[in-house]
Amino acid sequence: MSATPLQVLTRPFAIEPVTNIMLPDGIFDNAIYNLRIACHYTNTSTTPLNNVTLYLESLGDPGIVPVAKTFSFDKIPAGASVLVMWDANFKLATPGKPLVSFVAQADGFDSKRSILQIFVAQTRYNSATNTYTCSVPEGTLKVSKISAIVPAATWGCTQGKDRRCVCPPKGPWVPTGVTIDWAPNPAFAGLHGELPFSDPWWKILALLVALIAAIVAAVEAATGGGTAGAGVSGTVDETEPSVHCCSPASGGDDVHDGVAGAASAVAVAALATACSDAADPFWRGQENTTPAAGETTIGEQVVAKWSLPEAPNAGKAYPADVEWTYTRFTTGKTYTYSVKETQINVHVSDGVELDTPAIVNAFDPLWVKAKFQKTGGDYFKGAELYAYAIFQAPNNGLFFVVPLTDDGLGFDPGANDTIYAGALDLREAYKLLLRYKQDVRGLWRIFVYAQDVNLTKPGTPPEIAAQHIGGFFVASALTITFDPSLPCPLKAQAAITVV
Amino acid sequence: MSVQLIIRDGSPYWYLSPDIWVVPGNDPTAPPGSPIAGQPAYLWAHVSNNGSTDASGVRVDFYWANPALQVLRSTANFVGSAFADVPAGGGQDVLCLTAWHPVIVNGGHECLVAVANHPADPLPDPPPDDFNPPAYPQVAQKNLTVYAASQHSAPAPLMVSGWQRADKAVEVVAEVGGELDDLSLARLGLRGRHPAKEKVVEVGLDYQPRCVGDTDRLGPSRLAVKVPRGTSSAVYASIRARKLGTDEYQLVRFVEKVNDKVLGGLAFVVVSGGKEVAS
Repeated sequence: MSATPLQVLTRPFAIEPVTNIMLPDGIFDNAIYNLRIACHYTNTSTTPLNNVTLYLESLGDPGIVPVAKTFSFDKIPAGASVLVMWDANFKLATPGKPLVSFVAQADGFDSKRSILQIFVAQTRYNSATNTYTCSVPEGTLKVSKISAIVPAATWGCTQGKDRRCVCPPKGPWVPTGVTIDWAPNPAFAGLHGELPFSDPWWKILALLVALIAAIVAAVEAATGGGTAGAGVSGTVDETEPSVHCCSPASGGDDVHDGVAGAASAVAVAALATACSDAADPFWRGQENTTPAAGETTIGEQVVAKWSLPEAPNAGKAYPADVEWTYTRFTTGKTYTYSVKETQINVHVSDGVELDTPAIVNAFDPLWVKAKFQKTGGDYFKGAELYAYAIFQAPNNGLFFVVPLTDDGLGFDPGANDTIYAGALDLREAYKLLLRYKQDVRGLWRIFVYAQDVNLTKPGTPPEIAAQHIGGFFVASALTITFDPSLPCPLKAQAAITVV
Repeated sequence: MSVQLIIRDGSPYWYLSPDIWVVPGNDPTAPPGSPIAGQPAYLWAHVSNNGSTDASGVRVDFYWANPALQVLRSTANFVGSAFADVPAGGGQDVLCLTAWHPVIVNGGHECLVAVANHPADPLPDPPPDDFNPPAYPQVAQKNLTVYAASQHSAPAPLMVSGWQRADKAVEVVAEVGGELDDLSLARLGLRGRHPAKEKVVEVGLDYQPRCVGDTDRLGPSRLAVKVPRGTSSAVYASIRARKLGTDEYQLVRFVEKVNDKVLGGLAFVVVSGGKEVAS
């Protein structure tokens, strides 16, 4: 028999299970102990595969402890990519690029193994210096002097009886400046040093640090102490104005974590926008500071400050007016290069189109179909997105997270047809609602989120791979605003009445 | 309804399992071969399920140990784990992605153990110190080293592990001859070789390491060894070969016995000269 034509084609990515968000560029970090190893498994043949099983076989780092689980699919259509993920504990993970193997088997075929690398970083916080340190094999990145627009004083308050709008307990902060120091390992001669993991720009590590700092409190609050590395939450220099952003009230604790996590990810992405995807300040600084012959670069620094004329919202081409200075420290002398420019967020979407039934009988599935438009008219499809919907039970009730996939399974009409679909099993949801004495009947609200996926093929040259970054929200039910006079910016994108 | 996991023992020598093998180098999917001291290598095992129920999430643990006759959990080194789904009546290759680095002090000569764990086919809890592959189908051991023939023999240390709670008195016996199955040969990178027609390898045992020239007398083929509880001891094997064809091999086995019961063993596949191929 031939091998099952199912493969993981792109790098598996990290999902934080409390907030459900993908970490920047899918990079894992042992500061958050419990993470999910997610990947898209693609049927590379031209025919459907039947009775498919998928499991994670092994990891190249014994410090990463996965939970064994086998996914079963009655059928995977030709060309379809199914989303699968495994819980794992990263507390003792070593920074690096460990291998991970997955095994797939379908009727009529032998098993097929996919072996890929994942990226693992280690972020820690020094409260004495208010500095974050992110370690990877290629060097150590220190993030300090973060300035940010922080949540308004009214954050968390109910904004009027009619709107019943309550913010998450820990609001997002929008970075507006940062100092990043990079200590390469080893020091290097010539123009360019090694990229972190030989792949993403240095700024992605800074973004990872910023997101971890933003969500770690929510993660620990939801899962209890000891689920994140000690002291990975620091303080920032507050700048004007303030973030005014709401989330729906909830009967369940986890909603706040999900909304807060998404809000934080959307907000801290301003750092990545300001620092450009095409070539980040470290690369551009290196290009413009040629060291003399015989000199070795022993350290680099980027000091950046930016302003945001518009709030940094998911999927929007918001600008960032940025000034940064790159400094190269060599064994001979110090070189600097400064830039002042405007950068635009390139992780954009022209909107989300949703389709849901208006009315559903109790205990029938609640389904949603979503289309996420790119700029220019095309739509995202298949493995290009990690998307999910949050279903909120009636009367500001519990929240339920449902993956949205374009794999031709369940309520999805066809693989790669640009429609991402998911459904909530009301019978299962009802069991939980009963525990909280909530009703299944009434108006359910639906919020949809989507993050783009880094589709770079393994083996791509580092400086090319670095330009493809995943994990940015291209759709979010939550709108960040700096204007407190605007109405509650978190709106359900659809509603279903259960009768 | 049952799960019966099996990692096959070797036959007739149970400590030469054909279901454990090594892939040297950085590519875990490369052809199997002998490990190289100081270089990474990946460990594989083949797990079968002779039961009537599919087994999901079988965890296979991999260990290495210094060249020893009876391998104990207390003296073995854990390498890593891997998971497998093993269908009823079927089998599955299992790859451990935690790279194993054969230590240089042993020249790459190590013993390997694989243990399949599943709640439906459990091992004793806690497990005994002795891996004891003949007693547990889920456990197998591969104590097999490729050895390049030489007239001048360097002593190979063989560890005799003591029990934790009792003194041990054993006999170590050196034996020459026997055959390996085709699968085991292939997984050592020795496909197509056949046993030498004559006995061309001499072996001897000593309590102390000594270099043996081509005309020196070798030690005896049997040694009595006493090991106080909680300690380990060693004997030293000398292997000397003559006239081994390039397509031939000769098997040399060292066996640890108590009253003719085999507690453990270790084997060398002696092949024609040149630079020694470490395993």
